Amino acid sequence: MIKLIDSGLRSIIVDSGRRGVQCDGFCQSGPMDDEAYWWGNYMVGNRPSTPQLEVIGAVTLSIEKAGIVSVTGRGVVAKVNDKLVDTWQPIAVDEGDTLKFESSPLGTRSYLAVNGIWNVPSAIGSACTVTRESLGGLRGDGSPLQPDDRIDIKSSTLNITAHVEAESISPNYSLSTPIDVILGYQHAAFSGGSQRTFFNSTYTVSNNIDRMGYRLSGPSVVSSLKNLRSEGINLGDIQCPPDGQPIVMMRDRQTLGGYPKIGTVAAYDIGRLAQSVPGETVTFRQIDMNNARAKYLLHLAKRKNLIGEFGCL
Amino acid sequence: MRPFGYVSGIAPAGINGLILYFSGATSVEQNQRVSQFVSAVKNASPPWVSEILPSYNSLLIVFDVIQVDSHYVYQFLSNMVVDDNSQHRHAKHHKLPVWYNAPKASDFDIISAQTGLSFDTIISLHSGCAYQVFAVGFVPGFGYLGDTPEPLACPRLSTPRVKVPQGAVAIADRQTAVYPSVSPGGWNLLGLCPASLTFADINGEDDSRTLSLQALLSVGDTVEFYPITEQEYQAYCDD
Repeated sequence: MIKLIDSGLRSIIVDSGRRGVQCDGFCQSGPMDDEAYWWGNYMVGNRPSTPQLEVIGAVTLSIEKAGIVSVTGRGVVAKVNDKLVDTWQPIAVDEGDTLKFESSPLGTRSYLAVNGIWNVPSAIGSACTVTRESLGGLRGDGSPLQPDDRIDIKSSTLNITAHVEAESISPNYSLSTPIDVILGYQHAAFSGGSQRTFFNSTYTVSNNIDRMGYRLSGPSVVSSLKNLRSEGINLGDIQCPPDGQPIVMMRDRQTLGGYPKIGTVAAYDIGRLAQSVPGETVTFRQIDMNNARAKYLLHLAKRKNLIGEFGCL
Repeated sequence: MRPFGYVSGIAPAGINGLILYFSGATSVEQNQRVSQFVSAVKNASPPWVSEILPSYNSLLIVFDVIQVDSHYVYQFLSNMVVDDNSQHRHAKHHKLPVWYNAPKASDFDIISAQTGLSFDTIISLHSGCAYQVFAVGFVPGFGYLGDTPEPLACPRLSTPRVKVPQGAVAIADRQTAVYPSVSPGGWNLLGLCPASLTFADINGEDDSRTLSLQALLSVGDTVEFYPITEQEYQAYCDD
């Protein structure tokens, strides 16, 4: 059991998201930084889709029952009773402890995993909070967590079983490496010049970013298409509206949209982009669909090897 | 990837997606071919399909990259048998009541100015034919219905509303829809529909609460609107 004292700028409950319901108009949802979320559950000995807190800002909570927790994310710092503790590691906490954590720079997201079974409401197969759909969360209405909210978690172990090398698992959040993009959808309607502009320019992350999409600003990229009938949108799709400023579609994106798309950010680079903040800059690099898949599978294989090294739970 | 059958184009949609575009003489025919293809995929129900997103003339298929790659998916889909004659097998016909010109949801003045039609003609045209659900999306339960009669065609509002009331019946271009929940929107409002577009089922006791939501409209369904009075609207809401 944990109780929120300060919920930071925004704290929500997330899990791995909703499956197979996008055809009914429900968004996918799920953690913005999938890698941080995955390792969090691993380190506290939870199943991969167990809920966690996804937090922007600094959060304080009180531990009402001893257990194992883990804090992950970009630039995360955690303190138990005002003493610094390791992040990207399992931490043993006692009843009455105060846990504080935050990520930097401000606007990035941190994740709190807590060992045990989370007794939180499930809606459409997931505990994910989607404010726009009035769905999920503790009150079931899509509202974010508030001070004094209690989350009922039945812990199953008090022993730390996973020992990990934080350096080997925490992702490289640096934006100096270009973000991989698979050309697709209406890319043929973007002129050669437009495509070169997109792949050779630096884009700034705008203030207009949320769980639905990240709006970038930079040199204009426009297609020759005037009318496009609304069609399905996948995670990472890059929409280019008439103003030419690309929007990368994120976890809480609407299911259908009618703006031309030049391509899609590769799944393994979504977390890195999701952890960028307004004012930071990104560049894009074209990658073939097969190579992108190979890269992703290698990443998963590496993760599996690391788990092997650290020992099974 | 080469087109096949009624699939006139295929494009990558990320590591784990392919989008298929369908040919057809009319939007109804294109949409019907999308639905026939969706039925075939659902019947085959390969374990690697994670999402199926049909729309007007397109179908986005999201797959599990651990199990398959795009070449496998292409081979599977291009060899799949699609019943070209099948109608929407589970298609339902819905009759939805509308309190036209409800004060909370009425752009009749704008629509009348745009179309040159009287209020009564607008109502009789809108409620005078059956529409097909071409797509469901944007928000849960939002069905894109069409085509509305040509004389009713009306552009979107120049400035979208921040809040469209729940149940608002609206038109834009040759489309019509009911807003299932309060949301932003730029369509022209015709009135209010008291019917729920989504159903919530709450199962289980307090410690294992699960909520499921069913959307009323599915792609391929048909919808007809009929006018009701303010009193009938209130009675419907009180039920």
